Amino acid sequence: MLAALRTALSRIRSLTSRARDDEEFDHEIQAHLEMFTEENIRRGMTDDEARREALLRFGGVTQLRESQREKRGLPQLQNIWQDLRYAVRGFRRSPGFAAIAIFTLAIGIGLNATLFTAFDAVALKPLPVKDPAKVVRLVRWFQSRGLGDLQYAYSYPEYVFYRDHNRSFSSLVAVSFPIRALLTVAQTSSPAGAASPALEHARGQLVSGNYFADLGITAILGRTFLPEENQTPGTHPVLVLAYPFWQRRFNSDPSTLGRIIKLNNTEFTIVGVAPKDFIGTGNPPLVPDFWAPLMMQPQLAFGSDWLNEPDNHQFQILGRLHNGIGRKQAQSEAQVLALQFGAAYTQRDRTIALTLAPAVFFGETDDPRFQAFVALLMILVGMILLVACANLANMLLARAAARQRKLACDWLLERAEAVSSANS
Amino acid sequence: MDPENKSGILQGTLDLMVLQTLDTMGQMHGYGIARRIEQVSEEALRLNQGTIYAALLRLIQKGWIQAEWGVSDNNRKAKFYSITRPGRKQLAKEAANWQRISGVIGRLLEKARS
Repeated sequence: MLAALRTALSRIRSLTSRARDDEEFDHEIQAHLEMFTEENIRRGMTDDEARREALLRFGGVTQLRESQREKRGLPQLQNIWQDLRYAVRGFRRSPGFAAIAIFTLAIGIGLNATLFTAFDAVALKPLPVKDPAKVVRLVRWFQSRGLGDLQYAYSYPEYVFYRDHNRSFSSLVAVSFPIRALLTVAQTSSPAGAASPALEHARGQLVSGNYFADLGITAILGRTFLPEENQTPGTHPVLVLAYPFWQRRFNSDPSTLGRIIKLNNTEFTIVGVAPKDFIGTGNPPLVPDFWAPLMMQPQLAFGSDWLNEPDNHQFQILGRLHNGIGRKQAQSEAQVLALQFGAAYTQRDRTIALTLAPAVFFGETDDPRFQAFVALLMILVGMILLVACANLANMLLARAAARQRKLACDWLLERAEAVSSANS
Repeated sequence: MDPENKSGILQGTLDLMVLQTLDTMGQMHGYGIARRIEQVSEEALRLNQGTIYAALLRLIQKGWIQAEWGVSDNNRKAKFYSITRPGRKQLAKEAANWQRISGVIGRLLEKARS
């Protein structure tokens, strides 16, 4: 064991002293042969006989030199180095071929890397919240076996019921699916624009008052929502802006704080900007432009009363587990609550089960649709890489066929040298 | 093309002989070791002398012997090898092992003959 380690170390050390080691070994063999020859002469042989006898008894000098060199260092490593240098020479000789080869591989590898990055971002990376391991997403399962985004959707009364009756969660937060609102920003800076205010849309999410606080998100500018902003419908027209929107629409201007903008003709005050890396908790992942308290629903999304309809599924619910409560345990409690709520209110489609999924962007990664999608992409991208490699292999094969003559010459020369040095 | 395979003796055996030689004789150069082994075997063992160097390299890498440049009796620059402390330990172990095995084989052959 120790000997094996010493051998490995010695081999690594000798990587730097290769030329010197070779030279020393030549000296050593030379000395050996001379001593042997002298002894043979002393025994009465002629000079020629003595020398021949010494060489004969020593064995193949060239072969020994080669095999010693291999055993002294790390032939694999040295061969790699030689191969690399050979490759670089090859590139220089035919830059066109090299460019095509590198390009082909780059495309193949690049596509794969991109796909994995995307997969990592949506499926493996947890939400950008504090202590994401304890945050779960509530997923419902319908009697009709309907699958998809609707499994993540709950009505506001349902959210309130879960929030007030559970013991497993230190908090539950609600966040709506993105809504579009007509945005009017008064142009304070340019007098020309004041006459005709810009007209555009912004996409936002309605969130419960504890959304930022309980997910552990603090504003980088201003504040997030206060508990009282979540009490009475229509009373607190305040907004938290997403960082990209603030950057894009307000040029990262700190004086944006306190500005008033109109959403669907209601004036809202901007009270904060979310941190750069907080890109929302949506499923599917969409970075909203702003967040508003869900009590502002009547002003932002007209035509329906989300806050009072038990069958109007508009919100996703995320829960933060109490310390010491496992996902299984919380899940069985949440399921009981879901069934109770379902029994108390008529539902279009009865919920028959409720599960807690890790809070990654795509929710359940063992959703078969998701898996099928990913498998398809993987196969597709794998094929691209395969085709790239096959093309490259073909080109190399063609080149190798053309190079056979040169290789044959090299080999012959090498042999000839070995034979002549053994005979000398 | 491994030179040591042509010598007709086991690789480990040659290592053991080299270790034993260095232990008895002290510092020696490669040629000296080769000659010594041949003489002790009363020329029954005609080494392919190059294989000695393969053995020496193995032993150096394992840390059982060490080498330094010196001057031989007839004023020639040569590399001298000597056994190290771990080498002595290894020699004792291998020698015991060898005796045990040769004892077993000896007894086996006795039985077969009788």
